[in-house]
Amino acid sequence: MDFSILSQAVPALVQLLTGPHLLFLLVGVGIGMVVGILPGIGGLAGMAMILPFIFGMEPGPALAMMVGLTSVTATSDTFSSVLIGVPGGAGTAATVLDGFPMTKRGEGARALSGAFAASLVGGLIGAVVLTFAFVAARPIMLAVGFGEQLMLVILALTLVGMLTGRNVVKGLASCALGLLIGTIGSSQATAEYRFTFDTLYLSDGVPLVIVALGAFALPEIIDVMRQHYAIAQKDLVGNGWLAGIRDVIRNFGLVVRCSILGALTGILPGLGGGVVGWISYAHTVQSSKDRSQFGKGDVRGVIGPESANNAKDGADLIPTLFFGIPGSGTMALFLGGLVVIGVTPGRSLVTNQTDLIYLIIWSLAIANVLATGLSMALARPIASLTAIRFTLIAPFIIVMIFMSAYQAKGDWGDIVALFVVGAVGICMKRFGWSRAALLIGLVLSQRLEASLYRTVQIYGLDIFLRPIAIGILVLAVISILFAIRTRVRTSGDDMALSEASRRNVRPQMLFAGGLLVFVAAMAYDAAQLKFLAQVFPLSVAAIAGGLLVVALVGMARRSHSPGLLFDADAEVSAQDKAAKGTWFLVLLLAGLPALSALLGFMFAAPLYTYLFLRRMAQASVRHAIVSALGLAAFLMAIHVVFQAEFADGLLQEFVRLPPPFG
Amino acid sequence: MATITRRTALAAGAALALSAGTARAQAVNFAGKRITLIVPYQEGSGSTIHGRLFAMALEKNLPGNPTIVIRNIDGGGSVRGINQFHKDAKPDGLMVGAIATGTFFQYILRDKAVAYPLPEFKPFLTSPFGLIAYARTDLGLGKDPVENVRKLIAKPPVYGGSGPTSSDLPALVAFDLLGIRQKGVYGLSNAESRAGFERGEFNLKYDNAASWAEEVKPLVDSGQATVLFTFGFENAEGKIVRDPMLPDIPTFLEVYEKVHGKPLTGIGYDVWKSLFNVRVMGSKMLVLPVGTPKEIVEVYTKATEAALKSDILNSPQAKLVLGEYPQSTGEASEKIFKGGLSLTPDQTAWLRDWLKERHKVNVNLN
Repeated sequence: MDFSILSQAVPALVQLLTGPHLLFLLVGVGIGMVVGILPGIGGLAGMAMILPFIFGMEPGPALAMMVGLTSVTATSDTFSSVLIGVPGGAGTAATVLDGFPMTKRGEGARALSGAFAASLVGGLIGAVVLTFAFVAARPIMLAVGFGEQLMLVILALTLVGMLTGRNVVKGLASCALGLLIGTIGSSQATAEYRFTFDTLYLSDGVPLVIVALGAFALPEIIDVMRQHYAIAQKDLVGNGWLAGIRDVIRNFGLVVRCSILGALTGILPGLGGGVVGWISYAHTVQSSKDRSQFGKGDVRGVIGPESANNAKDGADLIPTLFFGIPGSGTMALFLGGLVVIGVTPGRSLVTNQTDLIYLIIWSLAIANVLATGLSMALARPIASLTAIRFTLIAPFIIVMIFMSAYQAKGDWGDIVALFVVGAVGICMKRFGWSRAALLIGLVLSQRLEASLYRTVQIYGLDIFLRPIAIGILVLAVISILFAIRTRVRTSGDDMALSEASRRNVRPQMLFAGGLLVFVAAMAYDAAQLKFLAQVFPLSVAAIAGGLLVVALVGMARRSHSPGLLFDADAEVSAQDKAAKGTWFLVLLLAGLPALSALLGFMFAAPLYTYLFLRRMAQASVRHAIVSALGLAAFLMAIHVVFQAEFADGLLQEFVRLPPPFG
Repeated sequence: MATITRRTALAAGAALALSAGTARAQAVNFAGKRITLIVPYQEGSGSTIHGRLFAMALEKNLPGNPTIVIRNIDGGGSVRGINQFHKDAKPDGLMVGAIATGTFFQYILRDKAVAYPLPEFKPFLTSPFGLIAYARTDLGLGKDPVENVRKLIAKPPVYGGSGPTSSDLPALVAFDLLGIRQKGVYGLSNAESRAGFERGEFNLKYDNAASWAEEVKPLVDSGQATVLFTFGFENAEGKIVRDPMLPDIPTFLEVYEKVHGKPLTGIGYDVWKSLFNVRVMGSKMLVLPVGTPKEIVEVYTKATEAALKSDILNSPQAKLVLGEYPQSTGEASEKIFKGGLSLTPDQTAWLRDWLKERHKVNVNLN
């Protein structure tokens, strides 16, 4: 290892602060803030937007702009995760678990500022890690082969043990379901299609963002609509931002540990960005003494994942710059941007153009400081929106969720899938099945199957002769022992139980039975395929089926095992007779896709907003019209600036309309 | 009189239609229009970078300087995006499709998801890309490609790639024709398989010749890897010659002849040549939809010719993407396009049998 190149760090900083770089960095940060705050847009759209402009630019300023943009979206998309429970992606879904309950308690500003302060620490640690890692990254990455990647995935999977919720059987079954859903699409080994019903939509599997939105955002919206007058059920607490910073200082060790975890997950190949938030969330739970408040609004559950998510951004650059392996969609576009400015990732960049590397690192650090400052300033005013009567903002959130979902593949299948996952998510929340475990299973499924298949092909049993692989496996075993010993397991949905959950068990058994039917159908479908395509889904289906049968038998026997019988609806209606029924609210949500199917989303969204505001919120005609027109203008702007597309309806089949209407 | 009137009317009508036709030819103008380029692969893919490069150059050279936006619709090995392109595109020049090797193979193998009539698309640009095959030296390989291939035949290597029905198909057929029976690990992106190769988990690989200097040469220089062959390049006389970017490395056909003592002939050659047409000569293409009028295709051809002379496509960045290969436009690209579709039914059958026997892949029939 040659650390002498570290001496180039200072000239790079001077270059960054004196040239036009700083200006371009600011532009990048600005765009990143905007696309991050707008739900459904995200870093990917931001990168796509600037790519045409950077062609022919000097590499330095172009890199500053690209790094500025990509490194702040993980900070700015916290707004929607914390305040409205809509995750920006699978990775940020972990922030929702405690961030949203804090908002409901009126502590949105505190959650936000804590998240931002933690992001700052994470981002800076990410930059430091990048500084040293790029000297040593090549040997590290060459030591981590497919066998070691398999062990890393297994280690990550063991963390589910902390997030199963109160009932371990149901939690593990949820995880197995996630693994099983992840096998939908073409099999990596044989390219055979699994459970796709001959649709092209499913041929590449269910998009992660759809599951994150369906399993987390939709159930939360329903929940708020059912019970609450505003998102914040209590008066907004204090000024917020000082409290958040204090939280971070108090838990500084945790923030540093999570940042390092995030950075490591970014550097090591094989895990991918989606799981970072969850790994650090599980670690946060694992390492805390008092675990009773997790899932109910423990600030540690916010600052842990946020610091890790931001640290990962810096580390993500390592596989991208060294091997051209992008860890995320945004990084894939970043890679495209590198080529456009004439920089090829790989050996020569890392050895001959270290000045550019330092420019990237410093840009990363400065962008993080800028983003934190901006976000802190915005936290209080934006958080105050949560005190508004919820029916007044609900239609906008619903529109955003469906719009975000459609950006996944630009296909009506996105909306259908969102609805199906949403319905399952609502049931899981109601009956106490861990959605966190489901999402972790899903995120890791393809990686687990792929690395398993590659390891068997390349190493066979020789994998147990590789010391690093064994080391990681030992860690996994320790992690499992830890999970077995622990007493409190959270899934983010826990509530006090009364006899109400035990009175009517039929809906709970019906849901579990439905899951069992799905597992059986997947197994039947997989059994038709070649050995390499069926071995993984069949094994997972057997585990999932076994766990579901255990759960069903327990339910039928009215077992008293903790959390097995659980019905949030029954608990709520036992307390509050006036609460609206779940299925009425689901129908209310279905109104938007139904209208879109007729008129196309661009017409349906403003109309839905108008009707919703008039009927549900009893808003004045003027208020409703102004809101609907404002939304239409916003959608237009998104279409023009970010080239977002909207779903077509029946109308567009018959009449040709100019975009974005058709 | 009535007949004359009718005839006059017909003639007048024809004249009107004709003048309308010419008027339209002159009036192809995209001022203030937004053209969509559909790329059926992910953001950041080679096709996206290629497409963006040409989009930027075409914006400046198409009449009226339209805006060109890229829309990535990936999935199903490019089938989803091109299906969508075929369904949505009107023959008005406002939508362009980027097709690549996968689009051809899925069509040739008649994947049942394919809903596009590939031969009816109107290509106006083809970009060739050479290929180079190489292996790790720790299998006991030396400097001589022919000896190396003989050793690989005796001791089958491990190959990492994306799969037998993907754009790997020509390389896998080539290895097999030589007699190499490598073990395959699939479902990997090119960068992932390159990392696996560097770690020594795989020992046989091929790459785009344009990435030779950056990615392959360092491995060869450090003694980790040795080259086997290039796919070669078809010159203007229709002869397969050495790759213009790597003239020191023998072609597949040369190595085949030395290893087997006789040149490759028969159906094996025909299949290999058709795959070569797609994978090397027509590696990336830009097409207009079915039924696009000649005038519009010509406007695109002219704009592309002008674009190829522009600064954008002659910049060092563009050379990094396109290599030193000659780009074809208009009729020349149409010819390459047709060459890629030249598989006869018995050649297709050979390919299907080969996939079934060698890779246990059943190709879905329509």
